[in-house]
Amino acid sequence: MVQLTIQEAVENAKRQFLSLPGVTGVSHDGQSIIIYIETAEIAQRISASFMGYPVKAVVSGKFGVL
Amino acid sequence: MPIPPEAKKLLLEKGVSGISDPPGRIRVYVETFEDIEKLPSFIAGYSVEPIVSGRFFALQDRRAKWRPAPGGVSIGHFNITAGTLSTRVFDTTTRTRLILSNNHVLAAGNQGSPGDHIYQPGTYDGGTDADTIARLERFVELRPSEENLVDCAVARPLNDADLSDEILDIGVISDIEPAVVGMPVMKSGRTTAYNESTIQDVNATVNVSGYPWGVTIFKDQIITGLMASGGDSGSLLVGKTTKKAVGLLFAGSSMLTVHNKITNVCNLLNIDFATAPPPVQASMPGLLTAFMAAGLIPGIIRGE
Repeated sequence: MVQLTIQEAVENAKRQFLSLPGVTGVSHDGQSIIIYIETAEIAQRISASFMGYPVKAVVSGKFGVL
Repeated sequence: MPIPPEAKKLLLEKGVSGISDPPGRIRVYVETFEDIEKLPSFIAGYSVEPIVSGRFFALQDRRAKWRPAPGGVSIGHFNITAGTLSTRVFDTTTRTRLILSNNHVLAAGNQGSPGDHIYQPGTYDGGTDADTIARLERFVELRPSEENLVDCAVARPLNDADLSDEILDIGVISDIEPAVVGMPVMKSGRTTAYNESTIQDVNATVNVSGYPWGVTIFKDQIITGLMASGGDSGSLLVGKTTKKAVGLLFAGSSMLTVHNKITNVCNLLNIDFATAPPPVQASMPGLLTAFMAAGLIPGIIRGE
C-alpha cells in the first residue's frame, strides 16, 4: 500500500476530525498528526494512528477570538 | 544616613535597577543574579546588600488615550469593544504608515467599511468619536465557510504624528522572519501587557469561535503557550532574540494562544515593516495582492 505524505494525511484528518464536537484543531510535526482537543476526555475518541501516522492528542481548551 | 555619592554612581551601571539606604548598609537592586557579581562588597565603609528585582518599568495604562499611540495599547472599530494596536506598518506601494491589527478589531469582523472611525482607546476603555485616531483602510475578508489564513486589517491615521513606531516594552520592529517551533517569542498587548512564550506549532488548522457568524476555520497558524486574554487580539508576536515580527495574535484558549503568520499577513494586506522602501521588484505575493486589489481575483481584500 502506498503511504500518503503527512500533508495528505493531515488534509484527510482535517476532514475526518475537525467537525467532531470537542476537536479544536489538526496539525502535524513532521512525524505525527496532532489533534487538538478541548478536554482530556475527548482523547478516548481519537485513534492512536491515522493513515499510517501516529496521532498525538493535545488538550488545548476551546479557541475563541481575543 | 545619606546615600554616599559612590553608591549613587552605581545607578549608571548596566544591570543596576536602584539603591536605598537601610540602617548600616547600602541596598542595591539589580536586574539579574549575574549582576550581583559586578557589585563591590563595601561602599564607603558600608556593606552592600544586593537584591535581584528585575528591571523596573513605569506603570503604563494601556487602556488610556495615547498620542502618539504605540503598539500594545487599546484600539478598536467604533462598533466593537477593544483590541490591541499591533504596530505601525508600511503600505508596500505608497509607503504610507498604517496601523495593523485584526479584522475583528479594526473592521468589526467583516462588518466595517473603509473610512469607518477607529478609536484609541476602544469603546470598552472609554473611547468615543473624539478619540478617533484613524480610519479603516482595508481588511482581508473572513470567509465563514472556508479555511482562512488571516484575521487582519489596517487603518490609516488621521494625523501621521499620532502613531508611534514603537511597541510598548518591545521597541521598534522593522523586519519579519518565519516562525519556527521552539522559538522564544514575546508580545505586548492591551490586557496582559508584556509577556513571553515559545512557539509550539507552525502548521495548525484550528476552529475559532466568537465571530458574528460563529466558528471559523484558520489554517497555517502558529500556536504558542498561553500569553493572552480578551483584548490582546492584534498584538504583534515578535522573536525574542531577533526582535523581528513573526505573527499576529488573534485567538486563544485558557491554555494556548493562536497567531496568524506575519508572512501571510504582509502578503495579503500588501504591507511591510521595512523603514526603507523595498527594492523595486515584482514578487509573486505582491503581484497576487495587486491583482486582488484590482479585482482580477475575486474579492478577498476589501477597501482602498
